[in-house]
Amino acid sequence: MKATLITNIQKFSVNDGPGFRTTVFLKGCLLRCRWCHNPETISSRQEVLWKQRLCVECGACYEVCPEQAILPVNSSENGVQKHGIKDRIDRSACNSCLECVESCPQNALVAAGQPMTVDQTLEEVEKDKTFYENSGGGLTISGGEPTLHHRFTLELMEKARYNGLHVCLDTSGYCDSDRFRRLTAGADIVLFDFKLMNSGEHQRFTGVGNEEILANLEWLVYSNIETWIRIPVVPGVNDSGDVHATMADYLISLSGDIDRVDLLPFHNWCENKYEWLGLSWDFADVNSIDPVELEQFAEYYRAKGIFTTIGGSGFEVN
Amino acid sequence: MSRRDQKRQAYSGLFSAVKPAESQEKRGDDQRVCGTCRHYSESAYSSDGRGSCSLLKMGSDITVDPPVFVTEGRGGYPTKTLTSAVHCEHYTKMKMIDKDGYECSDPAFRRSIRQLQ
Amino acid sequence: MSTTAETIDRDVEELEKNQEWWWAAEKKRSKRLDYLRKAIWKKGAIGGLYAPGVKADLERAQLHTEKARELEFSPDPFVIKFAKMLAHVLDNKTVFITDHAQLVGYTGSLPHTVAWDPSCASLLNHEVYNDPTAIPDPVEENQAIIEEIGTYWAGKSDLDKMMPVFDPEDLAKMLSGSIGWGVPMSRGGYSNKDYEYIMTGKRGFQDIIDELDKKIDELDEEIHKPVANKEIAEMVDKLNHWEAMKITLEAGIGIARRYARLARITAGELETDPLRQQELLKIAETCERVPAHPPRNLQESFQFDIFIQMLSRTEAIEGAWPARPDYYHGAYYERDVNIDKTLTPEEALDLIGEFMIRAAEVCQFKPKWSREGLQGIDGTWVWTLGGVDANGDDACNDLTIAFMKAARLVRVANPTFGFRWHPAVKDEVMREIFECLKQGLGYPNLRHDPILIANSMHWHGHPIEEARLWVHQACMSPCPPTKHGFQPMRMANATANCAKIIEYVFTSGYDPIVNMQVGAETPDAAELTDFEQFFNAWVEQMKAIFSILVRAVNRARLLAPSLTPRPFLSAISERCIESGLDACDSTLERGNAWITAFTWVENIDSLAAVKKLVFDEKKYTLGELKEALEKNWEGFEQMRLDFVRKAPKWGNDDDEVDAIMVRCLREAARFSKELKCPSGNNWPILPENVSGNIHYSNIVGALPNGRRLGDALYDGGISPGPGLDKNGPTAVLKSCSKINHISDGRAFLLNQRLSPSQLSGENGFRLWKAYVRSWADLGIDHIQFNMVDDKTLRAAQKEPEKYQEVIVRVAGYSAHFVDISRKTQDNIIQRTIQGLG
Repeated sequence: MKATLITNIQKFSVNDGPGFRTTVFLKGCLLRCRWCHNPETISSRQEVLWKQRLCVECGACYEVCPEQAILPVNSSENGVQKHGIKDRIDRSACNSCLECVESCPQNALVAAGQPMTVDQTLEEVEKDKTFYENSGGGLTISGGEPTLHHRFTLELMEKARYNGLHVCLDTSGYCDSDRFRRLTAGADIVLFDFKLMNSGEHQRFTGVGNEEILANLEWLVYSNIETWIRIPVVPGVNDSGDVHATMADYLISLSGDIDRVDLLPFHNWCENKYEWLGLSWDFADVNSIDPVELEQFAEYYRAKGIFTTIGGSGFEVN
Repeated sequence: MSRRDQKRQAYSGLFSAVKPAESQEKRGDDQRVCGTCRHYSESAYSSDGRGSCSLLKMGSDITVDPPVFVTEGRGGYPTKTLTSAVHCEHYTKMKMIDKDGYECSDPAFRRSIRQLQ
Repeated sequence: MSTTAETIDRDVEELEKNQEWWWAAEKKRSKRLDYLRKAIWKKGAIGGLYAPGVKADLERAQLHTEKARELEFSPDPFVIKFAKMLAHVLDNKTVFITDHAQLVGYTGSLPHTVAWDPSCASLLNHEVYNDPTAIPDPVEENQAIIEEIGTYWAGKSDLDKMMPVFDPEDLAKMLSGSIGWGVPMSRGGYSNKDYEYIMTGKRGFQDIIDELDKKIDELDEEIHKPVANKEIAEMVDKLNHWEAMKITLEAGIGIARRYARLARITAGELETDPLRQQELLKIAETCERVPAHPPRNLQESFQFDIFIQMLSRTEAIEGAWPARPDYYHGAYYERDVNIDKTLTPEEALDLIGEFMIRAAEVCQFKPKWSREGLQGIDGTWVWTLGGVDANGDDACNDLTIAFMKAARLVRVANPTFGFRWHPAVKDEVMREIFECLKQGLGYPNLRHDPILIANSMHWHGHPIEEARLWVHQACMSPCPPTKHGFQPMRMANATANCAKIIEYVFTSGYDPIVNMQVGAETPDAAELTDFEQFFNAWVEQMKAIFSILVRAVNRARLLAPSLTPRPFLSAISERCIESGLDACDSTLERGNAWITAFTWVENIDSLAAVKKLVFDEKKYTLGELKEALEKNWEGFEQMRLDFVRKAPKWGNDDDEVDAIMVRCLREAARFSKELKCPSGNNWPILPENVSGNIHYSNIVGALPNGRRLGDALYDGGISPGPGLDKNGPTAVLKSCSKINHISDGRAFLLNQRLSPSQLSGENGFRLWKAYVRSWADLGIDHIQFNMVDDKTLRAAQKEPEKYQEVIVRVAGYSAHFVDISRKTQDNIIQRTIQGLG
């Protein structure tokens, strides 16, 4: 049974589909959204997180690293200077053997991503079955991009549903259409990320154009597969009325009903995660958006008769 | 002596009926009392000034001159917070938080102040 | 609508939006309730000391003592003398009526006084003498009076009478304060009551007196027949008890009449406001009616209840307040508000709110260790709401709802509510509960009714119709308020400081803090070679500690009827009226004992750590661990961190640790059936803490879960250690569900925190309801939701990892709250406080 890297199996997720859910975060994504709040899920490889605040500079990691990818203690610059961020690890030399993680007495070095099989994942997810049953909740597969690990995702979805679990698939929609159709057929609800209408803009901010994404969205709506459209509202990217007016018009123009739109306010809580990865972040100094500020954008969708939430709570009443 | 008698004798220090005025002993300027010593352990129960020494054992007596020091055996020497330690050669002053020793020697405040940290 | 009302509504809305619940309540409640609420003197002790201005009440002590002196050479048997002392206090103590009040009755002589019963314990009298803050002015003069009273009772108090009763070795161990918490005395614990006899509207005190007169005369005839035998010899005791019961009932009626007289005089000669005059006359009418006769309306019913509680607290120090107010007062509410309409719902709220205020202000002078364990409250007044009736039908009524509304208006720390949840509870009741929690009251806590009814039947054999009537005897344990079901003497003494169990495994039972042998002399820990041996030593210590405590309580219980009888409690109990025996007589009671297990979870985490690091991974030896613990981990910091971080903790849905919890509980449960109370019934254990975790932090030494002497102990019950539940709230419930809450113990306290962000709006209600249904499905018997307010969260910024479950969740985000920067903490907490999820 082949294992895939999972970064987190998060219980008590109340904003990732209906009810109480457990969200499984797969590692690996083809997009490079500049605001990404799960940077530890972007690379498909296992990575090491270095938490500077916990490091006591004991040098244990330096002693054990077989690739000399760790800077010694008291080196003149105290770490590789990358875009102004201090990092103990030379990322280009690191082979993710995780010896340093084992050696650290302060838990300042942590692995991002653990290999797990479908069965292991499902066993963990099923622990909260009682909560799902009482709230219409279940499993949400997210990441990263779950369609990237399509075999794992498909098998997990099938087994989960066979065991009576409700399944949500949280996807960017950036996926080959055949594969996309096969995968979404196995989901009760698709949580579909929708960022920008304009493909050029989309490319600028996420690294890919949005033609494939829009095609997949259109197919979902046309096929009447329950879809919740999740729009992250990011400062300087899509936080203007025009953008949402256009998006609302577009959604209404599709042949099929729009089940729901969730506007998700940008937050910067993931700042530390970037530091731990030794990455810089374009949005490091940008403030989180107060959810209340999204009311004005929500109006555009509601005016078109679309059920719209701010935050995407799993307990919304329509 | 039966084992039961022995035990009774060992525990007798805990039971003496203390009249109210007795528990309020004269507080001298002398800070050298059991209550300010590192080895003293206040009774967890009665908060009326009773306690025991973890260094000196049952059979010791520091209120007499010359004092009696028993360091072997089980059972701490029962003593009181305000018992004078003038004759006690094992007295080791505990680390104080306040300079006037108020925090440690006054039974009314000692434990509760610590616990409010 | 007038402008003022509009302004108030707007203000209230604004305040509620900002979660300023206290200020919103201040604006919402009636002027009367506002006045009465602010007139309460805060009686809960903080850090063991009473608030400034609160003074010990010398009057009762003096009255009691003067009568005791007078009766010293009286030929009366003790129980009658005692009843006469109580009567003397009640006949002569100061009575007062608070301005704007509709209910009367207080344990002290004046509102700022704390009732002091000098006959309970000489130890307590020393504390009054030595308490620098609670002696009223003039201090020197009053200290002399206190000394005189203390000198009189030295050697004569209940505790002095009880001390010789115990085995000296057991007593010494208990008095060391290391393993127990409490005194084994009938007048220093708390009593449940036969509410089915006294609060069902069928009788008042006069009716009981009439019945007693009859029985006394009948028996008097019996014992003077021309014959003699053992039965007749025993009958004299019955006569004495009945006489004593009568004296207390008459005194009860007497003091009520004094309140009535005061009300009439005030109305007639001192009060000028005609509306207030009417109210005073109503008070007079009420106090002339009850407790002599059964109540006819809600005001009389509440007043009857207050008198019973006041009289009970004159007779004994009561550390709890078992009650089922919606069940026993509900019919009167129904009649007054819904049928006869003599009260509007708002007027009823005034009465209900005041009833809670009268309870909130009660205070009896307690020893310092007790106050430390109860931080901020005088006792645990947990009132039971909801549940089912004897037939199993839903017992919730309009008064259930009204109590919760009143609670949100008066916002007192005591009483709190324990709600008996069952599957047929209506949504409107659930909404009221939710609203209370949302507004930061911290109560009602939820009890799983079907589980606890089964539990009651399992452990103590109560028949189902009685089990269904259960009330919280203190904060957690169910007890039926029935003829043979009610427990008259719950001695808090059977409260075990369980962290000592694991501590003693390493010291072979020697306590390093109190410097004496307390536990079992188990073999040297360094010599134990496998986990089974280690666990067996743990079991030995558990048995030793529990036995010491239970033996002491059993002794006290056996002797209570003769040494420390309770004539008033007996006077309102059917089994005593019938039999002429004292309420504490164990032959009349079915038995409802339990051992409160403080500091229980530390054992689980410690055992799990030892199993993993010592026996499974062989990273350390027991010898090394023993040395490290002896040295309080000094010089062993790296090792200590391993025991903190690299060992699994309870509360994470980890089958291995959870199995240890279940195993420990089942060993205790097995042993519980070997321990018997004087009625022949079982002694199950009940993990919970009150504030014992604070009191014991300097008494428990270093432990294998990484704890040092002086570190805070866990919250208690089966709640995981703070910050040690790393898998979220659902994992905590999953762990707890592996315990069988019917047969693995008496009950299990579980605290969880909620945040405003989770509970806002209709979404919040749906979320909470779904969570509660899950909790119920998992078969857990208790859950207490504490809402975290922004003040607490700001304090939490120092350690956000301890507040993970309350942090707002965000869509699609894989959350990390541990080891994050201060800036991020601020951002997250800010959003959490904002309350939009």
